[in-house]
Amino acid sequence: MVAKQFRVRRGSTMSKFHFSRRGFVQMTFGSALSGLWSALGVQISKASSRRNTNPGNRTRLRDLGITIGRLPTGLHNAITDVEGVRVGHTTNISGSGRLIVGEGPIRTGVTAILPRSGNVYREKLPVGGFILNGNGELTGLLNTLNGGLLETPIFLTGTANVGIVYDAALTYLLQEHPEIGVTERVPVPVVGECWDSLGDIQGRHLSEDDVLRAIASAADGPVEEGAVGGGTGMRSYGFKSGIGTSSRRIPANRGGYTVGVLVNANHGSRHLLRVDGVPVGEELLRYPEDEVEKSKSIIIVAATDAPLLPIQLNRLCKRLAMGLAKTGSVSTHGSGDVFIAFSTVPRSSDENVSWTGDNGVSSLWEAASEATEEAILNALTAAPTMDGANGSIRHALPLDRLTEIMKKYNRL
Amino acid sequence: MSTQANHIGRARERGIVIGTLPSGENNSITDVSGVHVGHESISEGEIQTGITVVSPHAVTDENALYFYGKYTDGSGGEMTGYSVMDDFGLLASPVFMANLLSVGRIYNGAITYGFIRSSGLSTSGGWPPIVMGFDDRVLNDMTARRLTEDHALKALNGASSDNAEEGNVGAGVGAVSFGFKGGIGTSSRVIERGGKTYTVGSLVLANYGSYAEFLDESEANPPENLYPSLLGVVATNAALPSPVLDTLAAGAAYGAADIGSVRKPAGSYQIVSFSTGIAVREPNRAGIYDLEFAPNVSHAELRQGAREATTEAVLSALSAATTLTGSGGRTAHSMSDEMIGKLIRVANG
Repeated sequence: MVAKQFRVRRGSTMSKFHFSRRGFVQMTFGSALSGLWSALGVQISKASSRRNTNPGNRTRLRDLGITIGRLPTGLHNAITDVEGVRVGHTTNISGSGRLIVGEGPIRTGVTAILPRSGNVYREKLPVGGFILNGNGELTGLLNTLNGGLLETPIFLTGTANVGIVYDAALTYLLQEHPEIGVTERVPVPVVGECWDSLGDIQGRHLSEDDVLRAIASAADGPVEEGAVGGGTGMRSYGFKSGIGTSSRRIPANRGGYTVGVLVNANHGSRHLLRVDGVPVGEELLRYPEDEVEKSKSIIIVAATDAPLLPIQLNRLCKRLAMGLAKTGSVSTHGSGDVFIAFSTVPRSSDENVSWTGDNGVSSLWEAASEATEEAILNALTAAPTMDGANGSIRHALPLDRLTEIMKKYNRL
Repeated sequence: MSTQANHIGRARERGIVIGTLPSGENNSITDVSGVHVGHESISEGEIQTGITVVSPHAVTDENALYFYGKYTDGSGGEMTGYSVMDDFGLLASPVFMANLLSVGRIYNGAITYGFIRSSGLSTSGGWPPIVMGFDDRVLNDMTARRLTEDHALKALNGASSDNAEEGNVGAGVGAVSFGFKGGIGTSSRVIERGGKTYTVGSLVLANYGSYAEFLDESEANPPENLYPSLLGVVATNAALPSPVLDTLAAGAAYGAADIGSVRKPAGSYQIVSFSTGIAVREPNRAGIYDLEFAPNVSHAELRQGAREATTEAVLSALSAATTLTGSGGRTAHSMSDEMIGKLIRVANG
């Protein structure tokens, strides 16, 4: 179970909670309106310790009986199914009502993806990237595209927090490697953003400590999805959204490799949404929707244990775009759709490099597309309804309506 | 500080002539209309560093978009805002140079600036921050991370259209180049085509180059960058689309390599270019713009201008930089006229 670090800011009477691997707190946000958060709106109930439950989140696509594609998933159907990959979140939620810049309401966080069990600064991993629509920031892209080696964790957060997260990442790296900047190279952190305007984005309510705790809490196993970490304030296809993840295994006779994907989904207009081909968004056009903001980005991170060259990882990233398109996105001008993919097979030296011949990559591309499509949909099924500044509401995708529509189109 | 009014350029003062095109009025990137340059410096013992910012407009100008290009080679550096530059080529962002361990805080300061200009952090307001990182550990204790968000804001607020400072200023405070003191340099060129006059200017951070270019022993234990790089900004008032601005940025890299990479690899090159010739103001709904670009026949000469101006900017940086003792008691000496002459002779073969 991914340990969750949940911290509440001053102004709330909730105290700080730390969650260990054993227990978790069920957070129910319900569908009540603005009074909910001011009454703290949080019901704390006894934990269930099923390892594949997402605490504080609703459900996963597969639990509704909806399947994407034909390949089997990894054990936890998460990016962590790629061995060594770990994920941690810090989620900052507090306050409600009127937006007061610098105070709240606060709806933000950070997600840290640690790409290997060893030390990625010491033993770098092959990496590639792709810019589908450039209205987004992913720092370290120059290093990714020109150098093809990943040397830091990957961070996902809100647009305004990028500098804070970048600086915190350097603090972490300096703590781990005090020789940085003295006798060793300065690594370049990878920080991706989406515009999480549900709360006081300008207030940048994220601290260095929040980032360090997300890193420290990163773990393997099931990954928390929905309105958590960097996904706390996101909306996608007109519904509450956030972090989603999924994985696929390709057949043994193609290498038996795993591709895992994690997204921070903040993109798309409702009418576009498709679930396994079904025009769910069109069917739900009249379902309540908050004032529609312009489409605002998705960052997609992929991992694989297939040995790939950086140039092949660039190509893999293009297949993430194809999975995205299956959920309906057309990657509009305002959407910062930028992707990064790494292989967990380290470069032990410049001379000895493993690679999967190009004739073997297409299965990986199929896996990448399926996992992306499902990860995005998981973000939607996981995220609960959440209120934000000035009485705004981001409605969760209604699961009962979803299954009803899937049945109507004979997909369930 | 030498202002535009009296700036000739240290290289030119020494009689060094680069190329054949005439220079701009004050031989500075600020000859290009709209360009503003600002520096913030820290020079205290172990801390020898700073930031430089170059903007295509005054910070008080109305929000608008300008065409940008870039050239990068080598890895291990940083250029934030890469995606928008690469895919859109239309921004308004001031371009910062800051040491690699300070990039995060400078970025955060630039976010504050972005919010001041646009509550939605629009690209026409100056998002995303463009911060280029470099390594100045030879003379600067980078790990102290003394640069803050405030330095970024001060540099922006203090940026002016007649700042032509060179040498140990801003990002150049702790720079080391060819085993000598490096720093900031600037130069410009004028191109006449089709009855019109275009100016192209270059500002560089010379933090690249190996002492091995000289192949002599005159400097014992010269300070050498482990992680050298040449950062540059190329500006022009010629209205050019982004792919052409990419070629100007490449031209600037060639200009720096003309001096720097003859005998030995000099480091990585990171150049951002922009045109102040067209300011695109965003309408509320999709509309059609009529844009007038500089004619195609001007492109090659503009690129040549970027190249010459950058070579001269590097030599001006080396000429203007003064001897500095910094972190760990290490010293980088000002490059003498004799050594600059040697460098040029090596470059000329």
